[in-house]
Amino acid sequence: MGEKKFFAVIGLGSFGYYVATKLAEKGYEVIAIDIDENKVDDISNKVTHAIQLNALDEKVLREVGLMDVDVAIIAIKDIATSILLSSFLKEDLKIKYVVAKASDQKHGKVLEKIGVDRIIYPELESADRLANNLISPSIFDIIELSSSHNLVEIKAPDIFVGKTLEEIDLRKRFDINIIAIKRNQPSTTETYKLSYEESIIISPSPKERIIEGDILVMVGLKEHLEKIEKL
Amino acid sequence: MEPDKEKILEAGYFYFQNQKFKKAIKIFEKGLSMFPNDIDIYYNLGIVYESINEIEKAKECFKKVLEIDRDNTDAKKHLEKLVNI
Repeated sequence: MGEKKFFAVIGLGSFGYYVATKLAEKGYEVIAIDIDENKVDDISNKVTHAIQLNALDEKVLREVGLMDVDVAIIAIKDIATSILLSSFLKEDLKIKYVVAKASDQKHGKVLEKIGVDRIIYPELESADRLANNLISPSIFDIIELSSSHNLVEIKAPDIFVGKTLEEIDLRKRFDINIIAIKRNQPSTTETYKLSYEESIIISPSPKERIIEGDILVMVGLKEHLEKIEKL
Repeated sequence: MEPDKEKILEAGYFYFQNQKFKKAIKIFEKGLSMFPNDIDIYYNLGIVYESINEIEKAKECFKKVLEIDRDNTDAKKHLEKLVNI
């Protein structure tokens, strides 16, 4: 691993704010930028630098050293500003990795043309997640790995409980790999007050026995995974 | 003779510790029929459900605790966590 990455987050609405504070919490250097002084004040003690400036002022952006960041995250609602800034960061400042939030597909298309490295649709993604969760309450998370493959986290179906991974043999039956098991381990506290600790078993062995409430993290073809979800 | 509450908590605790979650749930549910609205039993039942990812049922238990004891910080903490799932 090289040096720690250096991030800039431009636009401190709720999305930008959460991204910036989360990265800072994880110990990364973060410059947070917004035109609104109040928003900058709110985040100033949570990130490395919080700067109030107009994101379209190219001269000032250079002055604050934006070209030195490894990753820039553009979380600006205004479509025109977001597009102009994306193109400036990518083409002029030559920032290695630019992530931009798109409000809709059209906005996303333009960002793609500019060469933005990653485009996110937070509303669409959370709507997707919620819809999936409502359809099947046993799904805790889905990440699309490619157009054909997903990574899903689902609650272990009852018929798996008590069996080992070898016995259920999902690899052979469905060509699905269980890459981790999230398990809550009962833990002791004082006077009969129950508690538990979350643990994660990465690359579980074939002898690992599934217990009730386990969350299985698995990778496979979408249609194969859907079969498991229905078990 | 009614068993005392401590005995119920102890038994539920034992099953939970040994990862016999269904048994623990049964014990606590039976406990609630003897001691309705008991926040310790509701809280523990909530934890069992939470630990086996029965999110909706866990939420109900913590809500029940808060209905009875509005300022119960433990139940509040767990409920807040579950609402975000």
